Amino acid sequence: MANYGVIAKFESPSALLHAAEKVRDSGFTNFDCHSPFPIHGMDEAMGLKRSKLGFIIGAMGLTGALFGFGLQTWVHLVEYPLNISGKPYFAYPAYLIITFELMVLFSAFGAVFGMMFLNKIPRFNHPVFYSDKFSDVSSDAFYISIELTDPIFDENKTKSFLKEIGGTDIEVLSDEN
Amino acid sequence: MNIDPKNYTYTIDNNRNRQIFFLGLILILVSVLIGYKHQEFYFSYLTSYFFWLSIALGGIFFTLVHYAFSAVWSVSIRRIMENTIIVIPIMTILFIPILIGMESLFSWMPSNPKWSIPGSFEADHLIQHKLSFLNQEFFLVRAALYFLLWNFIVIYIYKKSIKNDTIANNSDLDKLRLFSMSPLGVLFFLSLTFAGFDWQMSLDPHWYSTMFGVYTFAGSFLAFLAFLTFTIIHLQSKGLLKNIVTSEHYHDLGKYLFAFTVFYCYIAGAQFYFIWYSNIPEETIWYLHRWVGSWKIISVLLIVGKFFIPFFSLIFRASKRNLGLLKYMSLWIIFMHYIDINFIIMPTYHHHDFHFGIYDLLVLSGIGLVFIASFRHRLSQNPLIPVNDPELINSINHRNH
Repeated sequence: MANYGVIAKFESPSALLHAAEKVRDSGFTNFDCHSPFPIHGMDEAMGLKRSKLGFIIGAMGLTGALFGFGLQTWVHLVEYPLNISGKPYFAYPAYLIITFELMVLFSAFGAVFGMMFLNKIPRFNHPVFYSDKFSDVSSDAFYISIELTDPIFDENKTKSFLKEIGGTDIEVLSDEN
Repeated sequence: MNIDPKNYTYTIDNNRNRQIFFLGLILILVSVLIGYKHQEFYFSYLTSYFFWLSIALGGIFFTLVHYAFSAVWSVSIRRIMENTIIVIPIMTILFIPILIGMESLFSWMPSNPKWSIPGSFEADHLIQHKLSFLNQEFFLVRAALYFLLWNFIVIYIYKKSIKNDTIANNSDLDKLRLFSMSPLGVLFFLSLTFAGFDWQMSLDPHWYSTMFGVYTFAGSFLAFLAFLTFTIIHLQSKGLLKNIVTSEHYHDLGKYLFAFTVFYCYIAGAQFYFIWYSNIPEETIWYLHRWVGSWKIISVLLIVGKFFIPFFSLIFRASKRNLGLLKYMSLWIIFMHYIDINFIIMPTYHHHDFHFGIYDLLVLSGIGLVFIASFRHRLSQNPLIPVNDPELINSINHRNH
């Protein structure tokens, strides 16, 4: 039986938001909030930094644009020069549409796969699911989980701290296998 | 909620503002007196006139959209928009020189100097086909209709909005919402499209572009957004609108500037591609005229300056909240809009090279001074915010997520 962390239930989105602020202010870094829907201002309350995803998308978009333009230039100038309605071989205005499309395609790949990479998904199980009550979070419950790996985690102190800031149904998650 | 009235009361030196106004009028008059016989003057006048007019036209669109969707975030900057569009009545009067010079401006008129050889006008098959639309009588009727519609829209919006400041109920706001959702919005778009056709596209009557109406709109709206952003930053630097317009509003204005920079590029690019692909002589010649001599530099400047520079400057979240950058970027966008209008109109006259002469300088600053002075006058007349709008508090507390 290995422990993973502590979860605590909160009553409302605003209670969760304020609890997250307190958890952040007391120095926890490895914690998460669980809610049936997105809560405005939660990023700030949890002290999350801005996502790096934008830079991944930007880099992928630039790669796609260069790749699209380069591919067409190579095909039309080197590999298979073809006279199309009397226009020059290096008819760069015509290339821009494919360039744009590949930029969008690569950016979309960057967005989807970058998001999956940053969120470490696909992930088929998570310690929070060892709790029986936790599945309520998909309808009407709001949970905070603090993980064991957090540098300032101490089981008893963390439990009493969560109770102090208004958490109920405090549970220590443990692997049952 | 209580806001200190000092925060939204704009006071100006009325005498000085009147001097600015009359200085502008004098500059226009002087340039008319010097240049009324020259074809070049009328082209310069049309360029500068359309540049300033388009800022107000973009504003009409934004104001109508604001009301039609009952937008909340923009309530605290709404009055600035309304004060911009109310310059339309004065711009209507400034249209007169274009009527005087229409014969030298538009080569679809038989009396244009282009047709000095007898019979050459009748021999131009393409123009003969377009005469049912491009003739003097219909042109005048259309211009009258546009100005009638624009004046009606701006005066109605301005009157109702001002009236709402002093009365207890908000029935005027409901009326304005219905007004903006009425077919007038569609008519406004039609008028903008056809104004672009009439005053810019028909300068080269052989040429046509089905995208041109959207092109006019894209340029106008972008210029207006830049004007609005600059005005608000300028007012705040004078200590007004403190805590009323926040970095959240600037963030939204920055998003608009960014989005419509991309939109302009999309429209301008699409217009170019259609013409480039189809390769029809009377269409491609328009771009060919703009790819000779120093016009080539202007064309490249438009691609780089009107798209790449604002695009890469405004793409980051931090730069949309950076007032210094936003201020200079909006000035830059307004400048590029002038270059764009010049690029559309002037090659018809200056065939080989870009040229910025004394007429351009006089009328650009003359109309500009009249525009700014009447805008400042309107700003000082009423509170800078719609004090009685129930959504004002929500607009001030607006947050981006």
